[in-house]
Formats: sequence, C-alpha cells, structure tokens
Amino acid sequence: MYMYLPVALTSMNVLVLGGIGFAIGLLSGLFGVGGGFLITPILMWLGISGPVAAASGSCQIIGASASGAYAHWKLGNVDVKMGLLLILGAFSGGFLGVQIIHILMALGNADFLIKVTYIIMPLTIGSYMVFESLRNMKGDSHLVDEDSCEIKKPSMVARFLASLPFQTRFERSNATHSIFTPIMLGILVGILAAIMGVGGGFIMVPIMLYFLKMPMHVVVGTSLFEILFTVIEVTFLQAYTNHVVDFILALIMLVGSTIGAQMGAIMAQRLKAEQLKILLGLLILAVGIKVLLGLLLHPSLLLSYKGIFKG
Amino acid sequence: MRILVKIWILVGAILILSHWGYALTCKVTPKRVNIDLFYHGEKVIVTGETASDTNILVKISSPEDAEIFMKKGKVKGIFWMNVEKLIFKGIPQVYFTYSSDDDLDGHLNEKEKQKWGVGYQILEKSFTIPSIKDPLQKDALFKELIKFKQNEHLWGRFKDKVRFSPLGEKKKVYKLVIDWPPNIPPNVYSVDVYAMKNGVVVDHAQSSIEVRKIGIEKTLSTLAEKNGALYGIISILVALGAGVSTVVIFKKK
Repeated sequence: MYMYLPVALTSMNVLVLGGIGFAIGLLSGLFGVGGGFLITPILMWLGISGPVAAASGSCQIIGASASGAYAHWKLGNVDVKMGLLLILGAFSGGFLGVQIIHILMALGNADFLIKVTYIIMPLTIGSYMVFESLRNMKGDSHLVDEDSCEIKKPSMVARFLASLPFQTRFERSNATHSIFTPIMLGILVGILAAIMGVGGGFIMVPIMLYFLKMPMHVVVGTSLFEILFTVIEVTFLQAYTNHVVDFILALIMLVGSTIGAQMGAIMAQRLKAEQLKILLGLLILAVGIKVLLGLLLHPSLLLSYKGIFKG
Repeated sequence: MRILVKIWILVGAILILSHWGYALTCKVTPKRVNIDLFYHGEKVIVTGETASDTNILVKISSPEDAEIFMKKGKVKGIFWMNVEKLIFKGIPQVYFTYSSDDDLDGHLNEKEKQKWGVGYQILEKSFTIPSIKDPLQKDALFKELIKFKQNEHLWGRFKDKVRFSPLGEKKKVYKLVIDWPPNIPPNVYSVDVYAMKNGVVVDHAQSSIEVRKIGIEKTLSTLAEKNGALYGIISILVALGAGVSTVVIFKKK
C-alpha cells in the first residue's frame, strides 16, 4: 500500500517506511541513539530530498525517543538530573555550533570541515568503543569494571573533572560529578551536533560512558531523555522556518519506530553492557566508513537540488 | 460577396484536408490528476485521430523556469563535495516526449525541432547558466542535467510508445498510455501532439493536464506552508502521543 507524502511530493510504500521506522526504533531502544544519522541517508536513498528527510526524521525520533525514554524510565534507567544538565549544555552548544558554522561559511570552508568531522568522529568513537569493549570482555582491563564503571586508576581528565567545584551525587548514574561536567560535555556535544547536523546521540552515548562513567543501561535511558528535547526543538524550528517537516512520512515511520523502541528497550535489558557497546561501536564505525566511501567514490550524479525544491 | 468568401473558405478547407488527410485531434484522460492520501501515480491516456500516413509525437511539458542546483566536484583532490551553486534558467521542470516510431524525436529536421521545441538539443540551446560562459562547460552541465532529471523521472524520451488502430481508409486512431509518475509536482502541464510526415510537422493539436492536491494532502501542504508554527506543534504532539500510546499498549500486554 502506498501513501502520498504532501511535503516530500512523492508516494512511498507504507510497509517499507514502517519497516525502516521499526529498525531505527529498535536501535534507539537498544543503544539510546536517535538514529538521525541513519534515517536521513536512508530516506535520501529512497528519493526524498535531504532537508525533508532530516526534518521528518527528527519528527519521527520524537515518538521513538518518547517511547524509549518512557520505557527506560519505568525500568529505572533515566538519570533526570544528569539529563537536564546535559540538555542545558547541549542547547547552549547547539547555539554556539551554529555561530561557528556561520563564521566558517564566511571563510568558505564550512562544508569541508563538516564532512571531515563526519568521518573523524564516527571512526574514532566507533573504533575506540569496539576495541575497549573487546579488551574488557577479554578481562584484561585495568581501567573499568563492567557496568559499574568504577575508576581504579584515575586519568588526568578524571582528576581534572573531580577537581571542579559544585560536586553533586547522581544516584541513578552511581557517580559524583561537578554540575559543570555534564554542562561542559553537553556544550561539546551540542557544538558537534550543530556542525554535523545530527541530534548527537551517537556522540552523547560514548561521552556518558567514558567521561561521566555512567552504567550502560542508564546511559541509554538518559540519552533518549536528552534526545527527546533536542528533536522537539529541531522539529519545531524546521516546521516554522523551513516548512520541510512531512507529517505523513513521520507518522508512518512513527508507527514502526515506537514499537521498535519498546522492543529495543526490552532487548537492551537482556544484553550485557559490553555487548551493547560493541554493537553500537560497530554501527558508528559503519556510518563513518559509509560517509568516507561516499566522499571518495565518484558520484553517479554530479548535480543535486539545492534546498527542498523538487522539480 | 459574403457567399463568395464562404465558398472560398470551403474550397480552401477541402484542399487542405485533401492534402493532409484529416485534422489531428487530441483528448487527454483524465484531464485532472487528483493527489489524495493513497495516490501512487495514475494511468493517463492521450488519444485522438490523425491521417493514416502520419507518425505521432506527443510532448508533455511544464513552463520553462529557473532551478537551483548544487554541483559536486573534488576538494583537495580527494573528496567529492558540493562545490558550486548553479542557476539553470529556461528549463522545464517536467519534459517527456513519446513517439510512434523508433526515432525519439520523430524524424523531424532541425528546423522543425526548433520551431516546435522538440528534443533535448533544443532545450540545450534555450537554457542558460549565468555564471557559466564556456560553451564546453555548459554542454557538460546540460548532459549532467539530463542524467539528473531522468533519474528523478522528470524528463524522458520514449520511443515506440504511441499505438495506432485503423479507422477507415484515410484515418487512424492513435493512443498513448502513460504511467504518470507519482513524484510529478502539482502544476498544469501542456500536452502537445504533432502529426509528422517526411520530417515536418503537418498538424498540431494541444491539450493540458492538471495535477493538484485534494483533501488531507491539500490541507496539510497549506498548513505546512502558511502556518508552520501550528503545523510544527501538531506534528510534535502527534509524535509524542504516538510514542506514549505505544508504551501504554505494551504495558497492557
């Protein structure tokens, strides 16, 4: 069965879109990522213009992240205090990131920086997660214990974070940090997310794991909680300023993704933290490799529409 | 005097018909393509009568307009990225030709192609890119434009698509069945039918087809365009509602 998408200006198979939504929702519930870095290229590959794909993807992530965050909250996996501080930082960082893009655009090398960031970030984060988890699984880690993330030999970064003022206890995360730590890391994620044009889930998750030393299951829930607020803001701005949110497209994908997010949350409980980290690391690596290949291989078409205009 | 004029008109009409056979007719069905929620393209039929010794070429096109594209190129000799914004002026958004024989442009000579706007070469002559002056570069970009438009199913040339069935000794019926692509944007498209003989157009008939949104599709498009804030809030609330309701359903199970 096909449905016409009023803003994308084309019709799409409902089962295909629902299936994509389900797969993204599953990843969302499993790993705590929004999936924006996967939705946009998939929708573009199906023939939907980039801005409509990105904006409608954001709208779809609202449902998936609300569903996933609520499921994780019921399981006790959301650290609301940590989440709110991260949101504060991410919102400020997003604003700063947009200003950085403006400056770089004026200098004429914004596109290059964005693409290079899009390669370096996933490849670095993904490979680190995979190798670190494999090392932990082999049992020769001297840094962290599985799930508890207890620090045995504090690094220089850890010592610096511990020296910051306003230290407070985050019960759900089983960690003590200065309130400035999540705010600063949120700012970093916000800047990177703005530069890369994604929600930032796949940057936020490793940061919570390795800098904030949060247990994997709390990371997933708290990340979804943070993503929910980010995508609400993005969806509203895209609808208000660019008119590129396709409601029908988002709704069809939502049906699949909300169910997928629930199943992902249940599956996440059954998988070990290191298994989750390896799977997410591989997924992030795959995205980085895909972007790299896209930049290195000769494109089949040298022209593309600028903006949403489709004929 | 009036009677004399009428007689001359009648004689002229008889002479024309005896020379060209019968006047070309054109009927497009449906005249309107309505885009509703479950729209997935449409079968559009172009049919009519023509002289038995003519071939038929059907052209469907939108008015010429300007379109903005991004062109990819190599950066630092390694990465393929968008490097240039190009404005193509004087190109139709949509352009299809369908011929009754194995020649895409109906064996028309260059003068006739130019006169009736038939063929990609004619489009190439009429379009401009203000920032590009080099003819070789313009030609290369036009080839890329054709590739892009054909990939988007917005341009196309199709041979052997118009079918004939006899209708008496001097007439025949032509019929073209088009699988109208679902991604053709709402607009009014002109349908031009050319009857051809010996490389020239001997008769021309014109009609049109309107593509328009109706019902919920029209409502949503209008809301998204005219009241983005309300549209955004509704989208967010529905997405949140869908997310929470799934939780409730799963909880019950």
